Formats: sequence, C-alpha cells, structure tokens
Amino acid sequence: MPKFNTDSNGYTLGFLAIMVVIVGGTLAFISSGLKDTIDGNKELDRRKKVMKAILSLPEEQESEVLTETFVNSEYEGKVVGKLVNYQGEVVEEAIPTKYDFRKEMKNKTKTDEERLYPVYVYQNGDEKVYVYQMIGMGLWDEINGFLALKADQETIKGVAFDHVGETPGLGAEMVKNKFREQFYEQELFNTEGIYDFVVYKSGKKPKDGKGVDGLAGATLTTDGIQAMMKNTINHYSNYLSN
Amino acid sequence: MSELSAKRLLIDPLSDNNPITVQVLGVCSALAVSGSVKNALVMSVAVTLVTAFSNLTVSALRNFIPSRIRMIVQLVVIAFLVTLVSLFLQAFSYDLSKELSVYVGLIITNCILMGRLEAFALGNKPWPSFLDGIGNGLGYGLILVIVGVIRELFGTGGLMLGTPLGFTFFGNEANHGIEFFKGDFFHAFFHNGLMVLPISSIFILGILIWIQRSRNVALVDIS
Repeated sequence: MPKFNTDSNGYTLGFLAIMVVIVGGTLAFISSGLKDTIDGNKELDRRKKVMKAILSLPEEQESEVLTETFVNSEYEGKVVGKLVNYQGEVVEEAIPTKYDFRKEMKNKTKTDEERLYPVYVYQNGDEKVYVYQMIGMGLWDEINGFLALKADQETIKGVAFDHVGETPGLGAEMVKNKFREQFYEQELFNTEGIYDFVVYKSGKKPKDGKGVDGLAGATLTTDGIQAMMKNTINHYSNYLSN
Repeated sequence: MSELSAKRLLIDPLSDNNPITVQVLGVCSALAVSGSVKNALVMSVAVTLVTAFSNLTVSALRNFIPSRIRMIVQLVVIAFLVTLVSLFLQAFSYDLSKELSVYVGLIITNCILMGRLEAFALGNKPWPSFLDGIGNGLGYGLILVIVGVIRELFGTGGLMLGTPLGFTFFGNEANHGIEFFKGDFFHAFFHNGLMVLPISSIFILGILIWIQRSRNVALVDIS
C-alpha cells in the first residue's frame, strides 16, 4: 500500500491531473498518427462508390474488380469532378479538397439555390457517364449514394447506395446488387421531360411500368430513397437540361 | 476474496456465471448487435479486449486510485480503450467500422465493463483480473453468437453473409452447390423479418435464460 493518504483532496486532484494528461496525450498522439490512414480509407470508400455506380457490374465481379489499385487508377485517370450551382453553371472546374458535400447539404444557412453540387464526369473512349451525388434521410439515419447517368442525361447507368444505420436485413439491403440492378437502363423522365421515376413500396410496382420495387419490410427506407432521388434530380435539374 | 484458479476464472463466465444470462449485464448491446454472426463476433472480440485490458489497468492501479473518484477513473480507462479500438477499426478495417458504427462507441456504456471492474478488478491482483476480463468477454461473446446464429439463420436464410464463409441455407437464394439444400422444404421457407429486428433477441435471450435456469437449479433466485 502507498504510504500517502489516497483520500486527501490534494492527492485526488493530482491523480486526476496526471491521468487526464496521460490519457489525453496518448489519444491525441495516436489519433493524429492514424489520421492519414483513416482519411485515406474514407476517400477510397467514396471513390469505390463512384466507380460502382459508373461500372454497374454484376455482383460476382464487383468485389474482384473493384480493388484499391483499380479504383484509384481508374478514378484518377478517367474521372473529372467539378462543382455546379443550382442554375446549372459550372463554378469550379475541379472539386476543391476542402469541399464536403455532406457539410454543404447540412448547412442550414444556405438554401438549395445557393448550394454547390458536385458532378463527376467519367470518360472512357467514347463512353461518357455523369455521376451525381445524393444525400437523404432513411428510417434511422442518413442515407446517401451516387447516381450515374448515361451521356443522354436521362438513362440510368448505375447507382450506388450507402447508409449509416438502417435496419440490418431490411433497410440495409439497399446496398445489395439485387436492389440496385433494378435501376439500370431505366429512364428518369417521361416524354414531356418531367421526372416520373418511382421507387415503389415493396410489391406495389406495376408489371410493365417503369420504376423499381422497394425494399421488403422497409417502407420508410424506401420512401427515403424515393425522396432522395427526387431531391437530387431537383438540385441538378438545370444542369441536366443544359 | 480467495485465490481463484485460472481455469475457473475463464470457464465460469461461460456458463454458471455468465455475464448476460446470470449477471444480466450488458443486455442492451446483446440485443442490438446480434443481428448477424459477423457483427456479433467482432463485437465480442472488441468487448473481450476492452474488459481484459481495463480490468488489468484498474487492478494494477487499485491501490492508487482515490476511492472518491474511482468510478470516474474506471470510466476514463474504459473510454480510453474503446476510443483506441474505434480508431484502429477505422484505420485498418474501415468497412467493419462502418457496419458497427455507433455500437463500438456504446461499449463504453456496456455494464459488463463497470460491473467487472467494481466486482473483481478493484479487489484482485492484475493477472486474475485480466483472466476474469477475458472470461467475461468470452461469456458475453458466446451468448451474442448463439443469438446471432438464430437471428441471422431465420431472418436472412443464411449465416456469415457478407464474408468469404457466407452461406445461404433457406429461401430462393439457397446455396445451389449442395444437393441437400435443393429440396422444397428449404426453398419454400421465407425469411422472417421479425428475426432481424432487435425485438426478436429479447425473446431468444429470455428463452436461453429459462433453459439455463431449468437445467441448473442453483441459479434460481440468486439474482
């Protein structure tokens, strides 16, 4: 046993001070040491989703093809990002590193008309794909994703979804190929150019109509996806019609 | 407290002194994270590491910790270790950290940790405390995996989905490589949506506790 009185005020305060310095210092040191790796992981995750939407590969190939080296070389070589405003004009020819779409969307002081939106253009030979970023609300938390359109700006090339906390087995199924593949090759607009793409409640999709069948047992997540797509088209509507 | 053998420290929490079914600690995360076997396994490993090392640290410091702030000290030690686990997951297994999202942070509030620190680490030497932490982490993991297997199997029709070991037993997507699973019985089964919701685990957990108590009369009325 230590000889000093461990119940005295001085000892208690001293113990606290030393503990805080040691714990705080160690955590700060480790956190700054791992920061680059963590940021790298986040960036790779974003690039992977962009490539997923662009390539719209079948499930068997997806995990094999989308390796770290492939995603990075493909992204850096063929994808150009730019920022557009609500009026559809290109504001920045390259996406600034400090730009964060999530922050931009959560910034309550800006209205939709004032925000800047990212557009990724993928050019592979003659093939051109435009990718738009989506963000919305699911049942429990944020849902997000990328929408890839063909050069005609009307036909969906592919989609990639992600979520923060949807129910596993129900809403979380949104990331699966089975759900995403329904979007491929569908038209977003009717003959008058009005957006009429619908993510139906599970089982409610008409047999020969367009749109996709929602997630079984996850009506609110499905509604979230529908709202998110509608908002995204609204944000980019001027850019799309240019 | 008398010296306990290393074997008992490791084995007891698996059955007769299980943190979940007998001590009824850490139930909240057991209900939430047991939706799939993969998550249950990762969560068990994380909790085992944190209980073991927080027990070790607090036990080593037990004679120096001022008694008036011992809870605060325990929380700081736990929070420190959990933050470390969370940082390392984000750096070296990003997909997993995304999947576990808030649950890793919630280890801090897992009652097993505080429970073991108060009940064991403060009164025992570092090595037995370390073993006690591992034992209780494994006991927690055992229940989590049992509940996870039941929930994933009946909720999604498969086990360990999303990993190289993933396998589908029931439903339309049943694994077609094995003749046995091609029968009508396995194809006709439809996933039970209730099983993937956290609500199902309270039934499963209740049944587990019931079975354990009916087989071991000594456990009845002790908690």
